[in-house]
Amino acid sequence: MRIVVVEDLYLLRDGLVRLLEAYGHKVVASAGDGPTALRLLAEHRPDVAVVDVRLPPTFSDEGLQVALEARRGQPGLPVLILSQHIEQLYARELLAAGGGGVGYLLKDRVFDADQFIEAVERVARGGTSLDPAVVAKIMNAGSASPLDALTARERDVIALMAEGLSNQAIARRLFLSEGAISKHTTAIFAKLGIEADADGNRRVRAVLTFLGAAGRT
Amino acid sequence: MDRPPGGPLLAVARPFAQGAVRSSVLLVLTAFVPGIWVAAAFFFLRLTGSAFGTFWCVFGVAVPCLVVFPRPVCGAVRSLVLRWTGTAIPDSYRPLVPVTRMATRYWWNGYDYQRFRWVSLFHRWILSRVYDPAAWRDMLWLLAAPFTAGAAAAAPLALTAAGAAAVVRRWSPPPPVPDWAGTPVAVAVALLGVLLLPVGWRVAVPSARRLLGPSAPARFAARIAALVQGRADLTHAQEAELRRIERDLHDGAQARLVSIGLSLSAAERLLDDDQTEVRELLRQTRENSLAALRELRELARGIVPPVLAERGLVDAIRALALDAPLRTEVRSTLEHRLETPIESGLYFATAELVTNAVKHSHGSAIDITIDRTRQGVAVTVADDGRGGARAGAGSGLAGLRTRLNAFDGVLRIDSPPGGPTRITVEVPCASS
Repeated sequence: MRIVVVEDLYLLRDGLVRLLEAYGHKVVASAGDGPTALRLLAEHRPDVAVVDVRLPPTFSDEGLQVALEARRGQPGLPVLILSQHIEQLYARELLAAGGGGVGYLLKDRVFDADQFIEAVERVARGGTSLDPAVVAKIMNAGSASPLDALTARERDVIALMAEGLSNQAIARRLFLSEGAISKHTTAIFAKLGIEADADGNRRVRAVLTFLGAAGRT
Repeated sequence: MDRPPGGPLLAVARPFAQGAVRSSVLLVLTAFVPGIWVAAAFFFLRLTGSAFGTFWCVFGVAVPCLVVFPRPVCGAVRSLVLRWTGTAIPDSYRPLVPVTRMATRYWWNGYDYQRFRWVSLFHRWILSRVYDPAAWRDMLWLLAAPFTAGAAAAAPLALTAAGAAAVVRRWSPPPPVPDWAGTPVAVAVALLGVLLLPVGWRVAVPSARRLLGPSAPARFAARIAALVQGRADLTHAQEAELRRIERDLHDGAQARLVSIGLSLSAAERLLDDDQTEVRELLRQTRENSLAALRELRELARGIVPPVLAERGLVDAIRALALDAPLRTEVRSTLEHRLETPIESGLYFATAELVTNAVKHSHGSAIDITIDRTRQGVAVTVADDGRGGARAGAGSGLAGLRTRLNAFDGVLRIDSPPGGPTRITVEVPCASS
């Protein structure tokens, strides 16, 4: 897979490149600031971009802006945002800017290399990968109207779905059969009013609904 | 007075009746002390007519009157002005020093030492009325009042009474034929008096505001005291915050890093002998480094939350609302970012209010509004809970108020028992 890494700290950028290459991916370019990153993303059109949220010169949410900007230029460009902090607000902005192929993870997740690489690959395939911390916050947040219809078990399932897990992985995590999970997902789609479409991208739309439910501001 | 029934007429008559009552009250208040002097002068000079009488006039009546009466009379005028017009005139008396017993067994009252407690109390009472600039302003008002507020209040009453008396005299028996000549003038005078009734007493308001309110030096002194207090609060808050950060770093991340170093050196030593043990040590090290990271993150968030630094107050409060376990709405009319210290102060105050609402209100929804006001920026946190929030001693709200002092900010609490609660935090800032 061809990957662009955007991270301003040299040590971390170097570590990320090493890790990705250790798993057999090709890092085609790396950048340390927003404008360079935008140029490189347009030039290389990678399979996935791994972007740090805070970038020079302002060290605010430039990484997020870069991701949103790049996705405006190349719709569907898979972007995985890494951050030292997790904010629901950012996760929602990221997902609201169009469909799948996005991830938002705490930098800590890099420590578990297998899971991190899996997340990168999932995002590259057009899936979502939300940090469990974001998902937990959304589950704890106040009234969430469309989700009220779901049973406790279905809420567990959609939370794991938002993290980006496949039915098989969810089944493993919840100690249920895969058949049971697919029954739950069908029920969730029905309750959230998500119909089958040509893209088959119902999981992403369910996750968007899930996030939208928490969005009341 | 025979009032005709009916609403509109009553409404028309009311200001006149009110004016009559208020003018009379003011007249009594302002004429009270001069009245005593006149009575004393009349009694001692006219009836006894001696140097002894003069002495008593001055030292027996006038001076004690100036010490005893100003405060209650001026207090009455202040509260009347507040009741009649809603204008609050704060007094600016110096606070009394409590009478305390010193190691010498003498009593200290802020002015002098006394052998006995009651003497000390009595001295404090007298001296506080002589040494306090506000007391001198009270005396000044007492001297000036008969000629300003008193005269203005008396005029309509006097005109009405004089006019009415003239009419009555012209029409009453001794001259059997009614005297037509002077009547219109007398009636006009009485009417003028009645018309002036609603106005006369109002002269008391500016005159009271001028002399009974705090003088410019007193206002400055109060302002300086507030600023000194604010600076002290700020210093304390900063000190406490630094201590907290130091403690958290020392007990948390720093300790973890030490333990990571220890495990790594142990692993290095074991590398050739016991692979499973090394693996376990490395796993522990990874966990420790994760925990250190988490602690550092929490610490950084406590200093300044990332969204606040990145996006400013409004988005930070939106993010706060997203995380709140109650239904929370945020509305804002703020367009620009504010000074960072003000953003930070408002953010943490709002976070505390939201936490309070979640913990104590037993409500189901929170409304947060962020608005620019004439003085600065105000954030209001309202919930639909059971109310009864108070800023009592030691409560979170009292602490919040102290911290807001540093910004010259105010905390307004509107929380009747039974709810709902609205708490507003307002901080002054230059409009940008």
